[in-house]
Amino acid sequence: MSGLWVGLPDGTVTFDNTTPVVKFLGTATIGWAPAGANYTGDVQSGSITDVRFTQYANHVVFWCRIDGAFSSDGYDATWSISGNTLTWTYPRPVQYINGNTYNRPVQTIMYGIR
Amino acid sequence: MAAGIEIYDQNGKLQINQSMLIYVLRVSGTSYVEARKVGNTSPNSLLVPTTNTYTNALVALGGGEGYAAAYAGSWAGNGQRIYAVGNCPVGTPFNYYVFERSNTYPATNFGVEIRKEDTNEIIFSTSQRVMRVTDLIGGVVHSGEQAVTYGGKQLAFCQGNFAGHRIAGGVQYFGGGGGPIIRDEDNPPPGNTKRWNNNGKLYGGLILDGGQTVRTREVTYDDVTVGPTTQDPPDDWYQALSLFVVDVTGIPVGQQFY
Repeated sequence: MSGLWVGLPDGTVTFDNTTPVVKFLGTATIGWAPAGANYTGDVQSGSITDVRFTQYANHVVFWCRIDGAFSSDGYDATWSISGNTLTWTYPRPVQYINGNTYNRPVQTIMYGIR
Repeated sequence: MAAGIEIYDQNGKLQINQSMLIYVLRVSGTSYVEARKVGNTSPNSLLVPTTNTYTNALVALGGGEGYAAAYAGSWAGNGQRIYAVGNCPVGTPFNYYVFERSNTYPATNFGVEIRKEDTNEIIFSTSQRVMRVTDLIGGVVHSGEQAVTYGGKQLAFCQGNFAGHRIAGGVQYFGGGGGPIIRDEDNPPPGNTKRWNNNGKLYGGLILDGGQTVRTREVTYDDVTVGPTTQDPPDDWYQALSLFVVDVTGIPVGQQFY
């Protein structure tokens, strides 16, 4: 048997050469907070570049929201990956609709490869 | 090749090295559906204990007796993650698995321990339970569900983000005074009020086939009629789902692992 094998005394295998492992690379917080937190301000889009996104064979990049908030009006950013660049984009410009101001809600993600 | 240890799977894919943290199981347990409304139209919901404490965790759900659960944010009452479950009966059990970054794992002075080369944080320990993510599925569930099956496995789903849609149906113009609805949207009567049918769903997952299948699904959240009002409906939106399929075979439920 190749690779690392880890078992418990009762025979349960907790790690072997079939274990799919996710690797954490970082976190990012974007958006604009009414309380005045800086984050990335009110810019509509931006990107994260990391050479590890493509450094390891047979891996794919993933990202995941780790804060608890979301916009029930659909103003959360969307994310996409291309090569070594993870890009986020808020769907609409800051605007006024029916007298209400719609900004870019703060969100935090973790990203990694698997 | 980097210095230090590297561990690869049977297909030559990197599993562990000395520079990248991984995710490991911190706690598992069972939570039960309660009569707690979320959104406007999901009468019941599920809270996941400990998620107000382990705020950077990845949380997987299993069980659920064939009902779907969709992430709906944090409950204001205690900060725990809350899931909309629609009409899933009160008392239905879901198993939860809370995974945290491996640098939260304590030193055990037992077996093999791999530490991050620059910060000395723990990456791997032989006493950990490593998070096994077999697949990523999701997309815009309104356009079609996705599913994966692994025979003989016990699977769970870890929702990576809030996801869903809100689709506003066509505006229907009232004639005023509660009269019949005039549906000529191209030529509405002046001064009349409007209403529309809102299709608001959250996206999540469910477990089928005795734990062997994970499937994506939409759950009711905001399926209401809006109006009469003078306002126009907001734009439709879709937020695609990211669902991690997690192999939880053999993991004890109801245990604090560290």
